[in-house]
Amino acid sequence: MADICGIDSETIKAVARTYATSERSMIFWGMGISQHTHGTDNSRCLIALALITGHVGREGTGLHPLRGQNNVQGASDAGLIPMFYPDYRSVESETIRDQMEDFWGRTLDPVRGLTVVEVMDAVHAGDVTGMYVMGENPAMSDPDQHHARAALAKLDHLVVQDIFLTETCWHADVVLPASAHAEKLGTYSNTNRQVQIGRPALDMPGDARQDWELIVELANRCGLNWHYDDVTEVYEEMRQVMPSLNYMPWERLEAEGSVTYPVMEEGAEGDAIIFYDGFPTADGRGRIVPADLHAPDEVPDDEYPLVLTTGRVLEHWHTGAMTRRANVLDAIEPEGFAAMNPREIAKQGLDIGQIISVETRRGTIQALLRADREVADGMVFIPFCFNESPANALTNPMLDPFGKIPEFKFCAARVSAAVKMRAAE
Amino acid sequence: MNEMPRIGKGRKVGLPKGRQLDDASLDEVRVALAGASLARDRLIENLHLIQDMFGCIEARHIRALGEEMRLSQAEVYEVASFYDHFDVVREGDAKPAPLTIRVCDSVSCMMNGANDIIADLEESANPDLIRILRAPCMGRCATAPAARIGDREVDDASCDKLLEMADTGAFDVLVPDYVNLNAYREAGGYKLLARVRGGDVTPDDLMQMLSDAGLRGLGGAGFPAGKKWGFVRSYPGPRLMTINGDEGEPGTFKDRHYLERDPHRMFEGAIIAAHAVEATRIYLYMRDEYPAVLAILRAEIEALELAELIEPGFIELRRGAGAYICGEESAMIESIEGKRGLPRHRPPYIAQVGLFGRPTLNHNVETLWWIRDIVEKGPKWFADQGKPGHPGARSWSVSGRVKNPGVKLAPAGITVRELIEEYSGGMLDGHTFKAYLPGGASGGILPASMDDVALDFGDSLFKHGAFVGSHAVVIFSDHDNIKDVAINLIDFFAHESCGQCTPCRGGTEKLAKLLRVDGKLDEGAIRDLEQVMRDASICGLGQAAPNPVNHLLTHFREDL
Amino acid sequence: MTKQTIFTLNGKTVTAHGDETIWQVAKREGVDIPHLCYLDKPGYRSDGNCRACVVDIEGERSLAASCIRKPTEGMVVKSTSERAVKSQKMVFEMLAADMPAREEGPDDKSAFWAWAETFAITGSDRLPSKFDGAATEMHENDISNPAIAVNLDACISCGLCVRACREVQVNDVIGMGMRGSHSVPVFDIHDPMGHSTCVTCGECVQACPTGALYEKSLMDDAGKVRIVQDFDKSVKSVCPFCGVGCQTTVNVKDNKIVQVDGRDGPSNENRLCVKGRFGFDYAQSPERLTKPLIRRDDAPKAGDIDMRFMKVSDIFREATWEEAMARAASGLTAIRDAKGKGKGSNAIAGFGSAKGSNEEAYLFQKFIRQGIGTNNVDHCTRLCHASSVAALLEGMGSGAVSAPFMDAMKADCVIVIGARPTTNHPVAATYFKQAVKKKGMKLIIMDPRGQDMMRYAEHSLKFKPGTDVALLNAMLHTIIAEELYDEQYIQANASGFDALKQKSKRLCAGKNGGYLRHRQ
Repeated sequence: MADICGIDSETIKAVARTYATSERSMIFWGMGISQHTHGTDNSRCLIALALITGHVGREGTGLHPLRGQNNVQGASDAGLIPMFYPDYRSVESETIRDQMEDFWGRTLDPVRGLTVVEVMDAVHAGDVTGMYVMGENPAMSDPDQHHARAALAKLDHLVVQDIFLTETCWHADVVLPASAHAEKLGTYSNTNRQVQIGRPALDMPGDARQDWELIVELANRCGLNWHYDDVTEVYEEMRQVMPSLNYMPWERLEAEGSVTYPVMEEGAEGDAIIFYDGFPTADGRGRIVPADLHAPDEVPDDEYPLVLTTGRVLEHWHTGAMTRRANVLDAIEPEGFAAMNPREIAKQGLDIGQIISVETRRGTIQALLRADREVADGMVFIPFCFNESPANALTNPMLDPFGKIPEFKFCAARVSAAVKMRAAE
Repeated sequence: MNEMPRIGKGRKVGLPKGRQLDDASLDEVRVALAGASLARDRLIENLHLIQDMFGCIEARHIRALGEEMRLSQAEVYEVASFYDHFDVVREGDAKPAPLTIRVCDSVSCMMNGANDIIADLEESANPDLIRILRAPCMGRCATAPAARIGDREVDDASCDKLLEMADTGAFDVLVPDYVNLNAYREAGGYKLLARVRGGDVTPDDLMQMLSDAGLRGLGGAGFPAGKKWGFVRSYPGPRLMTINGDEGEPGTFKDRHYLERDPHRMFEGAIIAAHAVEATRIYLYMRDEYPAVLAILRAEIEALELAELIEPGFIELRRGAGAYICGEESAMIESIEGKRGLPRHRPPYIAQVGLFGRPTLNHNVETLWWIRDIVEKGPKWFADQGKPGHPGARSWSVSGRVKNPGVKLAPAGITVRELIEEYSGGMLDGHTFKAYLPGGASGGILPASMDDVALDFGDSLFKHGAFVGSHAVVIFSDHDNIKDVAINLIDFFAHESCGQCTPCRGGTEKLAKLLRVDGKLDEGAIRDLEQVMRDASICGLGQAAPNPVNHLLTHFREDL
Repeated sequence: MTKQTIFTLNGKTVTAHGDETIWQVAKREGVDIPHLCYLDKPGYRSDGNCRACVVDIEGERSLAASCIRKPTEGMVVKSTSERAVKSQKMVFEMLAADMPAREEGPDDKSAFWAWAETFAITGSDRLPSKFDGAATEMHENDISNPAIAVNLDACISCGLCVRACREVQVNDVIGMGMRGSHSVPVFDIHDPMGHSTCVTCGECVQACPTGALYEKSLMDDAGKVRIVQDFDKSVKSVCPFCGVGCQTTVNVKDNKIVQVDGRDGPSNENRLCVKGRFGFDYAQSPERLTKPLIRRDDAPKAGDIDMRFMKVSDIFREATWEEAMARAASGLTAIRDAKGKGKGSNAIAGFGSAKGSNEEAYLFQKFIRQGIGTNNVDHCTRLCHASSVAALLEGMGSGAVSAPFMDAMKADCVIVIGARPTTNHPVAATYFKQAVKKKGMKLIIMDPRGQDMMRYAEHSLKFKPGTDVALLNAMLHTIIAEELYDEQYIQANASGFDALKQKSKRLCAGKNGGYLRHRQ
């Protein structure tokens, strides 16, 4: 194993011993684990580590996939995923669907829906022809951007609801100006399962409207008959189908500022630690699933000798739609770059600060070359927030077979000096 | 910083934030460290290695050293910039000239013309080759003016003498003859240690003897030594021991005097003390102003290890880096831990929470130096050497306007008049005794009219707002203006204040300025500063710094 | 039961609980003792250096700093004795002597001036300034950082910025350089703030008692003087950026956010990062969409359209809400209600957002499911943690985190793998770094790319990219081979251990990359 992963076996053993024999050990992970075609296998290994050492269910132990966005946890909990209703209840379970049909008063689709990248493929296949996108920017965030943008352009009808004219809006039929975070009231669930309230500080500009009101109006114009007086009413409706929000009415959130779910009984504090008495599986036991070794989908070769990996920078968040329009953040990280180790830069015969071309089987972009010792030899790192150097024009859309997540963290690439083609700013 | 292409609205996006590590600097630092420990507490030692090799500490080396020691640039820089003996050179700054001459400008050397030497040197020396620096007390007050050229300590310095030495390349360490380990053992040395280790003399016996002898901490605080051992022993181990060799109090040179002659007397005392309190290690902190002493200590620690009198590493020599405040025991401990020398708050006292958080026994060099004699000759022998009511002998560092300055072994409780007349050959011809410092720069300035005060720890001096401290007595005559003396002393404190607390940091700086105003002094403001410094400073430096100013206003109004 | 210490404060018998300092007891008792270098906020150690809080303790020769001194039984303490007040006042006079006049300094509403006012100190006409005759670098005005102005002429060397940077956020950029009256906070090696490794978290700004470090957003263009004097409102909210969920106070003037401060939320304890503190003005951007837009009939659709250098009006025309909503809805219903390939409910998909609120997410998926009749609803979590959630659901029956990240402070060992918290979860990272520094937690970082947090790590494993399973399996193998697993826990709580044993043994028997194979 040592020669595969490049870490000597004594170090691996030392780390394993430290983790296993410490009284309390914890594992955190991010997209370096998840964004691979073997992402689910990666996580399975981490789960196995925790389960066989008993490092879960006690204070100072456990597993924590660090959530990237302010409401990743909450949006998923609320059912914004194709296979689950709110609280991760399967759309393919007849009992559950019956309940939801009763609750929403109509028959529901019995089959799980398409995931983000699958939708784009379905557009190309001619199966999906209309989309409603609220506050997302798949034209920047999806892998293999040419493919994704071509899909958006192919749609018969695209409605985009956003606060800026994002790259996704470029392909829209209708663009609905919406509310920024600082203009709206709502709850957000962070990576710790803490539900907290965001409150409006600013008036909306021009004719922009609240996102929730736009959804309601669109729903009603599509034949529904919704009526909500305000956001708190929506929250209370959610609580009727989300046991995870038991014992935490809006008033409690207001009073306490932050409530962790789940709360097990009226007035109790939320459980910061879960799995202290087994697991919410059918038999109450955790399941260790061994993982096989699989190479990344596209490994370097003579033609594309480098590994391209993508990620973020401190100052910019996600596709940069917000942060690149924040003056301080844009001043600190103003321009798209590709980072390589100074040794690799020298080896490639390139100069720090010059514009280079980075090319993969899916596309070519230009970016300013940054020397960064943290990047390993043989690698290129490109943050995906810069629309002038869009990393996702290069990335591999191949999916993990279980989680349906694309392999953003690994594909084969090559670099070369480029004449500056970008217009001066 | 090397200029990189600047793109965008300010930052150079061709590089990550801040100063970048480069391989050449990293390699150079590795060569300089030559496998030295990278533990956090070795930061000052490692900075010395870089300063010694490159003649300065460049920013790129700070970056590389931080990488090696896993410290941030700020953590390295703040330590490097705190100590006088490190020359930090940032990108674009000139490097210091290859040779440095330091001229002591503390009070005894000032009286003997240090300022003229500095002026002459600045005029005559080639600045491309020689850098001239003012430096605080070098512990050679009896042969003032003192200077240091490279690592060579110079007595009775003059501009011509120093430049000639520069021309002839005489600037390496000059180690005087001293009693080495063999000689010391031949004269009966380390027999007592064997008896102590053998259980023949127990820690309780030792503590009793030290108490009976009246041995007190001779670094300046005067805390009874036996009692201190008892305190340290009362806290659970593991315990550590430190030796404070940061003899920086202007006018003091007794520790250097003893170490350059008979260092093992201190070592034997130290090893016995460590045995008595069951200290697992001794850290010997020696000021960097004493290169000859450092050479002696290095050689003799090695000799002790070879002779198997101590385990290898049992005594760890640590080199100061030019900061008077590190003579304060908790600041010294911070410095040994590789940090800026900031005194700690008390409580807790270091006997309870000291070096690396351990109960720590700290002693001055001379205190340890007496242990062997006290045990071998008996506590009474030591106690009887003092004046009535003032047990013990003292090593007085006498300098200034006397015929025979030097270290005088004389009774505790002696008067200045006796010290001058009976021990120092009287006043210099043509000089009339006017004033004296009873205890270096901090102990105050007393007028000749108080020549009958018994000089010792405690009340006799305390009631005059003075103290004996490290027993550094500087004699002034009618040729000396006491306001100039006070300004020299307050300048010293302003230079040496660690800067941690407002009263001392601001008080020393503002007193120095207020004393220099033309015309009438604002005595109200001066008295207010004096009070806040005395009442509210964290450590003794700030609390004692206004002493000379107080006495100037009280006793020497004619010099205002 | 916590220790109780009874002592006398200003003539009143009071009780200290546990390790409370004199200052803390005084605060509880309603006794105001001035303080500058002490910040009464989570994570800030008292340092006792400014001496503004000195008190008189009976029997002690010098005064003691109440912020750091703990009372002992029977101690008699006076914070208002003539001697104590004299020193407190002198401290303010000495510091004020070095400062620009209140209205000419960076923050006329700073904690320093608020306290100075109580002593009627407005400056000093008798004490010289430390800058008289000093080098100009001592009082430089450094505006090289885009968000923060540094005015060292207002600095009192209290070191709160150093503690903020080193002990609270643990970014280790600020140190206290030089000594004596030259003591000065420095960035890295006395570099301009904007050229240093500073990550602009702004913790130092929030901690500074004088405004020597201050938000440019409240100051004049030169970064010298505060010009935004008051706020129209202060709104308690939560940060819009990452998953940490820092609580904020958003200060608004003239319908513009002018400042964001950290609040004492459970996951941030007043801390923020550069995005949360200084990235607020996007909402005020002139690029905000303010009118509904409809695509012009003559505007082609093409995947390679690049509107960065085009006029909006080349592609879109402004529309009324009525027209835009009618167009949006009819386009969707037309597809939904038709039949055939590319028609019907399942020919529509909705992408909601992980940036929106829970209520928005709920309404969005409800609309797609109830109104359109399809489960084609997803959001960008798919691109982030879908595989993690898949594995967690399979292995533990829930995709939720099992413990909050603050629990790193209670852990003995923390593994961070495939994550760069100082970049992506900066405030969570502060807990990891603090745990190492303050609690001796052993941090293990595994990532093909290096990262600054590796400086605190016990082990840093820069493994070859894409070989996570190999590395983790080797760890599993060691734990199994050396029997370091928890037999009891496994028996009670986990299935599949035998299969894992066999698999790991088999994998680790392989010598080279032979097991690395493409998934079919």
